Amino acid sequence: MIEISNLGFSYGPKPVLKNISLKASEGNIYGLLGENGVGKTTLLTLLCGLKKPQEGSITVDGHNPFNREPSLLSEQFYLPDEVAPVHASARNFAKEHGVFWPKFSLDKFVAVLSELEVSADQKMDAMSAGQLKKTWIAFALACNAKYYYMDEPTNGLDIPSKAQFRKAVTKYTAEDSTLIISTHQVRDLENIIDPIIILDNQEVLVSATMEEISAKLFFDYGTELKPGALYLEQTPGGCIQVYPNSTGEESKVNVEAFFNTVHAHKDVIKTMFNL
Amino acid sequence: MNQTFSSQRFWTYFKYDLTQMWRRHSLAAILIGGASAIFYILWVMFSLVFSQQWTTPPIEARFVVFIIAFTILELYQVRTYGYITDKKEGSSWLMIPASRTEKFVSMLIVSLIVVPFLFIAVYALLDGFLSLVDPTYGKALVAGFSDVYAKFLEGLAEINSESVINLNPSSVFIPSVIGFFSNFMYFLLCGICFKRNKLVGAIAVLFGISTVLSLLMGFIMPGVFENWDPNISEETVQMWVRNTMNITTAITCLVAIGLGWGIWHRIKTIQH
Repeated sequence: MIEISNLGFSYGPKPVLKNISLKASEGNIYGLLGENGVGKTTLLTLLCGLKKPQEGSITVDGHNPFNREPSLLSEQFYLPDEVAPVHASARNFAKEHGVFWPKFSLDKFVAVLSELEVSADQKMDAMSAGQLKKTWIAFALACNAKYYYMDEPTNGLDIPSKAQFRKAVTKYTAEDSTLIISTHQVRDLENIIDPIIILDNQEVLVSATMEEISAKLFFDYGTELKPGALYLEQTPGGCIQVYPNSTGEESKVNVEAFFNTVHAHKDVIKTMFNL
Repeated sequence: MNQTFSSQRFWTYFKYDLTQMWRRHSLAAILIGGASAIFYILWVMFSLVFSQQWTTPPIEARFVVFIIAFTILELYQVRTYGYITDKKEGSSWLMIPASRTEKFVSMLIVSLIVVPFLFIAVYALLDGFLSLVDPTYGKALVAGFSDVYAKFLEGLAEINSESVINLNPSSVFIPSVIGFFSNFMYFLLCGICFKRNKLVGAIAVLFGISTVLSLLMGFIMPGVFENWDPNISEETVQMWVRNTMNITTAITCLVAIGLGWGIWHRIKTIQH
């Protein structure tokens, strides 16, 4: 269980996160959304212990991540947006690096890498940025960690790789694993993330499951324009309209439309989701 | 699970650390460790080209090359773990499931023991090999160092017999050894503190500290010698020398401890 309480962090005089409180329970894939510079990466680096909270606290299974205790480090994996090249083949890198994660499986690493269409015998410092990212993704999943913090994991991946990534994440993570994935390419991860956390200007705008979103907002994909829509987007052959769900009817949540709705009506949404 | 130190985890990390060191710095290690052979080849080559004679470098020149190579090795400490200030590589290093203590101890063993002793071993072996295969090369540098050490002991005995000052070899040797470790630790610390221009930063800080200390000494020393009595007793001189040696040893130890604490603190607090 991850618990964030009144978290604050700033770079110099400029606050990035202020009074953030959140709970993340086991077995979910959280989508961390927000515009550029709202503090998604900062939040992830605070969660994994790369940064120290300046205000408030973070606990992961009762541990303070910044203490960087081996027991917690061996239960988590942080995948940064930009990964480091290593002067070794992917297989050797995994063999040498994986020994620190008790549940690491080299076979799984090779299997995931193969699904992502990268050779395990290729030198990592001779790989393209996309191949390197895929190698680190494969390594992360092979660690069988309990907590994953992934910063823009689909950045730099080609279109087929994005689908392979989604498949690998759902196939190779344990049911009790918690993933927090930051992205601003919501379409890449739309089908796997649930719940959704939206950050904006130092605060959490929304933290809700798809079920909660669907219960409170209706996503209309029809062609008929209706009054009272909170958000309207023309699409080829129709439009997406989002309006308060007054009938309790279920609809498929469009994460991008939801994100834009939240941004257009921050106060309405915050009241709606009791934040 | 022991969060501070586990011997099994430390051993796993230490082996990993050594592998990474070799992977990152093998070329530099070969160049610095092989300086004697490189110098020998260049010397012979130039002598053949310019004087058409097979001449080998004299022991004095080889001694100077060793000192230069050793100094380069000392300065190179800014690079050995310098990668931990890099956002990508440093983040990956910090997230390795080993404790701060294990990473710190491994860093010190690699930097202060493995690197210098491996360098000395490689250097001495190559130099010894050249001495063995080329009769014109002269005796090995190790034998030269033994002579220097024997002369040092002789000189010390001479000072002790001719003056009231009584110095034992350990009072000179111990601060020198601690000083040698401190030098390595200083450049190591600068390497993990400065994000860019690590060597320039290290030298600039050293220059700054030297300047401040020189100014302080400039203020303090005239006061010390103001009431200097030329008819000072033998006991006072001996006490003065003994105290100076003790203070020097204490300061050297404090500096080493301070540097060690600095490295530990940096590992503990570094953020990415």
